[in-house]
Amino acid sequence: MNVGQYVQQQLHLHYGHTAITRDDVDTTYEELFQQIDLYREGLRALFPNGGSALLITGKSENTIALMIALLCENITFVPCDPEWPSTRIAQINDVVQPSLVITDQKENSFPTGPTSETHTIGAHYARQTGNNKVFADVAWILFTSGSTGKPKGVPITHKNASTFINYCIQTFQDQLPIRVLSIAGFHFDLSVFDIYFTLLAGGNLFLLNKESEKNIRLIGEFLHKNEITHIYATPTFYEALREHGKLNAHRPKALRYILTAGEIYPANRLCAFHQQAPQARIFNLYGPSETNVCTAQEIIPDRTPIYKNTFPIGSPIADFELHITDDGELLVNGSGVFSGYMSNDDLRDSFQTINGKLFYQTGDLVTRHNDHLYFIGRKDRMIKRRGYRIEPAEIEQALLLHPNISRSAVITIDKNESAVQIISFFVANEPLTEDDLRVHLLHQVPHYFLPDRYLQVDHFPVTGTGKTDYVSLQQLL
Amino acid sequence: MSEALPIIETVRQYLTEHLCHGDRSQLPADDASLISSRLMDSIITLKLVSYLEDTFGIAFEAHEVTQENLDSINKIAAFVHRKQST
Repeated sequence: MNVGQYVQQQLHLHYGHTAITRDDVDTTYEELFQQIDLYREGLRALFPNGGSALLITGKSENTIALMIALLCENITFVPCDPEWPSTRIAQINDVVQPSLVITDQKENSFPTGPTSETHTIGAHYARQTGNNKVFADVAWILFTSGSTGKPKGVPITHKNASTFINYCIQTFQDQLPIRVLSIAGFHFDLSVFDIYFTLLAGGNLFLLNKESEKNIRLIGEFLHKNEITHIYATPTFYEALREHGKLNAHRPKALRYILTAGEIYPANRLCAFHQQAPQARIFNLYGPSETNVCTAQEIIPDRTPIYKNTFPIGSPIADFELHITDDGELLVNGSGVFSGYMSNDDLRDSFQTINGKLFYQTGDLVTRHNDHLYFIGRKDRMIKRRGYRIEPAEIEQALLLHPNISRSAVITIDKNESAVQIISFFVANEPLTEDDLRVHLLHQVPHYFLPDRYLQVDHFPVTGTGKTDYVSLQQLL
Repeated sequence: MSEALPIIETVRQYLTEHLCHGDRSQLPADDASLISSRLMDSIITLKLVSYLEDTFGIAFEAHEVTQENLDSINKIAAFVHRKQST
């Protein structure tokens, strides 16, 4: 099933209703259908060979129409946050070698790649690259932090995507109205729920403008005023909303579903947040980008069992199967599981065959307690901050690109479960300020990678084999 | 106002504590950008707003929590001053 064609076909069921609202401007289901058609015609006329597209766009109804059109035309897209540094987008461009680069930024601000003629397509600008790589059946490719120090691409097929979308429809579609506030960026897999669930369910998707999306107070008011019913976000977001959203003054009374994923939500805090909207059902969704959501747990405060202040990750959804190794690593098989990274150096050790079936090794450690599964940590150094995956190696590599830095190491401290601290150590041939380092890093990595502290040392402690001694570094704090 | 310190010094001290791990030498200049330089993320910004509200007895409207009002120590102090005098 082609996700784009399926969604476009279903739109007519909801004609007469509003599909997307941004800045108080409504796009109806009819208008969205027509926009998708215009984008499809444009894509066919300008780029008859299809292929793949790097998408460097903000969140808008036009971008949604474009994404659905790309899916319909079997053009694999790679959603990139326009706020990512251009060096990162260039790295992604190198790995994907897309046939098109599409942006809604300024007409000539193509951060990477082709200098060919610029074509206008709807509200977007596109250039051809001369490449012609095709990714058969791949709907989109999500880039996430890589342990090799470079971002790595996770190709999601139409079948992978449908597994999650169908689950959402079966589980979260109840009565109308369905009014969903989009929080996650389109490069983040939480947005798959926002876009495809909402449109298939006949709901109204609300997009925030750039100014509002960073202003939690406005969002608190927005939830109340627009009677939002469904929201899918990270614990970091909900905690900011609880602390700074002034929800007491603007009760989100219409909220029916609170969906959370991306990192651990400490149980006591989740319960405290729920008190602001006690009528809403809470679902804890679990799964790395490689599988998207593979387990789910409805959380009923006072009833769902808690282990070490966390709620269970739940049981498998759809056709997922879980396997837990002797050392506690969670392995996952099912139609939502991707089939390998973009570049070969990440392929090693990703999968394991059990009883003739291929299982993805998540790297997540889980434990079974009273028949419930709980996430307890990672096998490797990867951390989650604000729902984003961060490989400390990426920050170390980026620091080493500074002309004065000769060694770098990054450690993380998990002080109070919800706020992981990133501490960077470096050796340099002259004193460097935090400001120097921040400016340098912002040219290399997304802002959510930025360390909390930068500590310059004369030399690094090393282990017997000459490697950086991370344990001793930790003790320097 | 009964504050012993001028507004701007209160802001400097808060940011030294919460942005610079207590190290005053790392504090950005009064007119240096805090938000567009990514020194303050949205959560630190909101914590600062709550602190300013509690300390100076003012209330930010939701639409006033903006980069325009909060992007430097000078801008923050000027905004607090404006709120106090209205």
